[in-house]
Amino acid sequence: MPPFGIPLYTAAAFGVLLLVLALWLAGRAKD
Amino acid sequence: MVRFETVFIIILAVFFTLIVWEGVLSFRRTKDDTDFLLAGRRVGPWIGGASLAATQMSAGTFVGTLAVHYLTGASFMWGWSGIWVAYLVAALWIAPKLRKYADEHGALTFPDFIGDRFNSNWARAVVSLLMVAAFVVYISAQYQAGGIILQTVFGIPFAVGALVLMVFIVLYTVIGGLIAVIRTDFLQQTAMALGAVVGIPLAITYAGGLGPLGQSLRDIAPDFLGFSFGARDLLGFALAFGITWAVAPHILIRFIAMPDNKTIRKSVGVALFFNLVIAVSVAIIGMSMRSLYPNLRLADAASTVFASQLLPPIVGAIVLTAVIAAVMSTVDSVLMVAGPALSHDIYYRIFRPDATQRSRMMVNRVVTLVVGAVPILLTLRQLDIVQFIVIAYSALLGATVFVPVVLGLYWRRATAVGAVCSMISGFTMVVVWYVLGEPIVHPVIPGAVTSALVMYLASLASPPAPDRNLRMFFDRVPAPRA
Repeated sequence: MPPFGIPLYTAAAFGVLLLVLALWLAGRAKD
Repeated sequence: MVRFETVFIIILAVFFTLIVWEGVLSFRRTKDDTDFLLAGRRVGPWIGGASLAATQMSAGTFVGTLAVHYLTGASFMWGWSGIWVAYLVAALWIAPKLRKYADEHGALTFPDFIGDRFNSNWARAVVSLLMVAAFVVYISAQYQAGGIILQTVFGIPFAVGALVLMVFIVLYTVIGGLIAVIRTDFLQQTAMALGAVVGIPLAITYAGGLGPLGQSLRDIAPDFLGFSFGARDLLGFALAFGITWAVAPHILIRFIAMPDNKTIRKSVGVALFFNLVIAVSVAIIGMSMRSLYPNLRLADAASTVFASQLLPPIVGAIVLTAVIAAVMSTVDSVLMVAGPALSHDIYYRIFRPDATQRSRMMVNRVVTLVVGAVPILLTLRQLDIVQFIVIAYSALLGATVFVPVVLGLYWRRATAVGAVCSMISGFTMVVVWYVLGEPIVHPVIPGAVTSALVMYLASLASPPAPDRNLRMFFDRVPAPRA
């Protein structure tokens, strides 16, 4: 079992996913 | 050996001097409402994103969230998920529409939007008052966090520390406005992120390395590294945070201060980056502190003990200064919304539409002073640990404003009567649910459901808003014939 617990890693992975999504969406932004 | 207190005082003094200097400079630059409230609309993605993160992450994060990890382990990390999704929801669906509206109508405040959309000064007044009521709870948690830091480091009474901090922050905000606040946010975010990152390897080293630390964390409680909070709690936390941050006026005002949608979305990426670094650091440090200092009398003191006893004095002092800066940044951001809500939206819009620019600025500053000072009365009672006070604030604000904003922007038939009833019933339901002792689900859930149902029913039962008010939000509404 990883030293800091599954919830920490899964939540962090979810955050990274959203970060990538935000930057991808920034590339597609129209004004 | 240099004492930690000495280093902390010196760094704190340097920081406060810089900040007062910035404040004085922006006082000279701040010429009108737009400068004071929207930083002249010149904010880029890095500064803007850091500012979003700095506004979102309060001392509630460093003192409160760390304390919850200290007490309960890893699972609270999932509480953040609601905030992260909320950033995207705000950037994609809320901020662009509001920004367009702000561009076209020169409206500056959140209650302006509610008042214009629903064509009702009642809606404007109700949202202003309830928002400020929720903010009072939030600000009280910030002063509490600051007071605990000063108490833990210097041994001064909690009340004295909290009061001193309150006086400084309120005066600073009254003088500086948003330009000064946003400029210091970036520095503060960087300092906090650096401090937290330096802190992790140190905490792990003190605990004897990763292996022994992991073992000792497993020994604390069977689910310390698993889901000690179950789905019911985590869903409640994420939802309370989420519906609040998707429409939080002090977040939206930062989006509106950005020049375009690309900047808004980039800034969300930047904010998420800062959020992630700090969320992970705070979780790891909180849990490590439990292993190193299992018997702290006050969980909220864990972050201060960490900074003052584990970190090298200079790093520790920088981190704690950054946390005090977080208290300042959050309180003044909130005051920048709360002050104008009462002065601009109630005094100017409802009572004195003919007030001069000069007297409006004056009233704004007086109201800011009062709204900043009142929460100290709650602070001195220390109703709960910091994080749970912050969650209560989120539930209150979210259940009040989320439904009127979202349905106001996306449902033509939403009316003023619907909005007013929805806000009052959502806020009241959260209070009632807390008073009942939070039965079955987290208070935010009955609050949000009530708010949505009441909005729907009361809107259908009342006449629709006039077309001229709807046109600015619903592009395809035809212009009335002359």
